[in-house]
Amino acid sequence: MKPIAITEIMTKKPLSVHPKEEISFAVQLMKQNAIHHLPITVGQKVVGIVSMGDLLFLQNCVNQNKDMFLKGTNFQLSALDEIMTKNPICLTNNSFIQDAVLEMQESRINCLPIVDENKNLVGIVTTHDLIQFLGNLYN
Amino acid sequence: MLDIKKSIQTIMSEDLITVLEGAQLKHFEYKLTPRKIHHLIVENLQGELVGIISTEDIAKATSWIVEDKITTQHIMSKDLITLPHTASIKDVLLKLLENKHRAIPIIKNKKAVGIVTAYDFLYSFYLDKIA
Repeated sequence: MKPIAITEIMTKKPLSVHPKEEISFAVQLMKQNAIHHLPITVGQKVVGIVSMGDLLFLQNCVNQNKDMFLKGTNFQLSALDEIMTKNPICLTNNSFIQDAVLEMQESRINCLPIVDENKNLVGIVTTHDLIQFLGNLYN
Repeated sequence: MLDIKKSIQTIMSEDLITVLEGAQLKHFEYKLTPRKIHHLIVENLQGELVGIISTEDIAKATSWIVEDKITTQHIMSKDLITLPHTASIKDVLLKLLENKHRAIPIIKNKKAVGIVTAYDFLYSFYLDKIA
């Protein structure tokens, strides 16, 4: 099969937020827009990423284990830069689907921000997007 | 093109690391380091699957919880999507399309015999020159 451009399946112009926004804001934004990954940007440059899975996981830990927490009970009010995955691996918008699969498998990640030649965020691709692509291929 | 009617056993990972339900992280963390393993299978005393823990979850938890106190119960995922060992590759594809779960333990008689992650699943198509 000939290579397929990543731009064919990526979500274009994804929502993103500043690293100093509160965790509660990111959760609300992801719920409202039914998305599971949120790039963290300064200007249009990607400095981090969070997933709903990360946030729910940490929230559950906080709820269930309040006495064990080092950082106390203000989880919702903490800034995203305290918990985000910093400097995530990105792909450029001239990459192919095959590059995304390889990168995800090698780095064990489920989401890749896509950036242009100036390293500005232009899209996002998740394992779910790729699974859907496969689903369509076999339908 | 990969034959999706094939058994899941042709692409699942059988290299599993298991820990006993209730074990403390400090007693099982060492199991992760020598191998390229990203999920731990949590079993009860009968050897039955009760949860999975990803290394990413451990990393996240240890940055927020007093590490000495963490047990499997604090960090394992219990709402598992599983498939029987008789499932096909197509069954996995359908499960992954239905759910946002990224790791599917494969079970036989309630015991985990393998695991398929979303990225490993995609990689098997990549190797077959499909993806």
